[in-house]
Amino acid sequence: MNDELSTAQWVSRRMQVLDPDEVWHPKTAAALAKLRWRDSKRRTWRRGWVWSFATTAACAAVLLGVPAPAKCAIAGVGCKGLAPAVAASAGSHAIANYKESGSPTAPVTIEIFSDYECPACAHFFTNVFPQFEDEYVKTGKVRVVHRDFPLSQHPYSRLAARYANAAGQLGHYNDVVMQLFSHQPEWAATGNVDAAVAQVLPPATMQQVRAMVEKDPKLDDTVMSDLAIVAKEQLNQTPTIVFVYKGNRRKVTGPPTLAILKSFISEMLAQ
Amino acid sequence: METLSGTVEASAADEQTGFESVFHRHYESVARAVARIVRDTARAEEIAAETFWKFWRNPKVSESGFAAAWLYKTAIRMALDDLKKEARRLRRESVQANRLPAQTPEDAHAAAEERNRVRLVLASLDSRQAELLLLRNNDLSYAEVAAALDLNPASVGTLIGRAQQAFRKEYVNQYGEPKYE
Repeated sequence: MNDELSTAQWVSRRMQVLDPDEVWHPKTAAALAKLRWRDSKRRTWRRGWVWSFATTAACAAVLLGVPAPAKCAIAGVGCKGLAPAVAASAGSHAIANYKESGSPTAPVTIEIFSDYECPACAHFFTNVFPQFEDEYVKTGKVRVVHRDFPLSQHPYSRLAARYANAAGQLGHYNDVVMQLFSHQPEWAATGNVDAAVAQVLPPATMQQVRAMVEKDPKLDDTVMSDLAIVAKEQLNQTPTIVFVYKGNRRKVTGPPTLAILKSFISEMLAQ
Repeated sequence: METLSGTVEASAADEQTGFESVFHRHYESVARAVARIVRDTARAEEIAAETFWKFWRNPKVSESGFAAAWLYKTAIRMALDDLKKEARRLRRESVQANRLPAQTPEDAHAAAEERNRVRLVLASLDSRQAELLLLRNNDLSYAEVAAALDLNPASVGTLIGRAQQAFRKEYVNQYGEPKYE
């Protein structure tokens, strides 16, 4: 009996290590929104072939008889009527290092590898990063470099990265990054990245961004160079944060709390 | 006058309201139960959401009176399947977990290693035994565990005891007794 009790306690102690962080809270609202969307999709699918036929016929009529709408559809790409001249002009004023913030002479640099559709990244950027930025980046202690790590299972994360990088070249990178992460459940459910980004950019800038997203072949260059680092360093999870200090690179996977970030930086600065 | 489509829509709305009530009551705890098994919290949320989707599409379960037990059982089963698929990679790689306790980086690494060990042992156990341990670890009563796994409530205690012994034996076989005990 004692042996059984002792085994039960022994196992219970082992299993305790699996308890998730108390600070982690599943995103209930986002999950419910996705399920509702999935349900609505299922209901649409089940309407029957007569109704589908009627819809298809109506769509065909619209496509044949009505000009394409001026506003982008779901994904926000493939629009007609956007001004290529605007894209060219945007390219000439491009900001080269828009993914970096903080003092170039800061003793510690952190590189944040993230995916715009990753819920853990959204948690980090909306709940941890703002305070970290206030305490460490704006005070010159840490320089931050954003790195794109779009995961293959996320259908819209590359598109989101294109929008963010286009906005970055026009001086609105941080606004769009925060908008994408803070409204992730909405655009990730529909793919309508365009609508989410349009909420934080002036209309003229938004037009430029759309043109760049649609046509700028160099927009993915930074994504490709970021992915080259991912491959070289064998990163396999988002977010991954790489601390760079005195030439050494130290990797932390998963969304760290502010306290963990502080402990890593304090330890490096104390060396 | 009530139309047929109106009746169907009203019924769908009732179904949705009932589902959302269960969802709000259990989603977070089910997601946390899954997060004990899989390393990635985002993946845990995907599995939890998939579980609730199955629940929503299965009205017989929601009317059975054992919704919570069914949700835990299904979520844990899916998470274990996921873990077993990952187990080979877990053994090969030494990857930090996505959760770091607020201690030194070295403690965080040790804790991550211990979590990987426990998960690998769970993955190597008989599925039923792993399910028993995880359901019990999520504070389900013997009656709820019995309902979830379709067992005789009188035998649940014995089966959990055997599962614990199997877990300990497997853990010690693979890693030896923990040094700090």
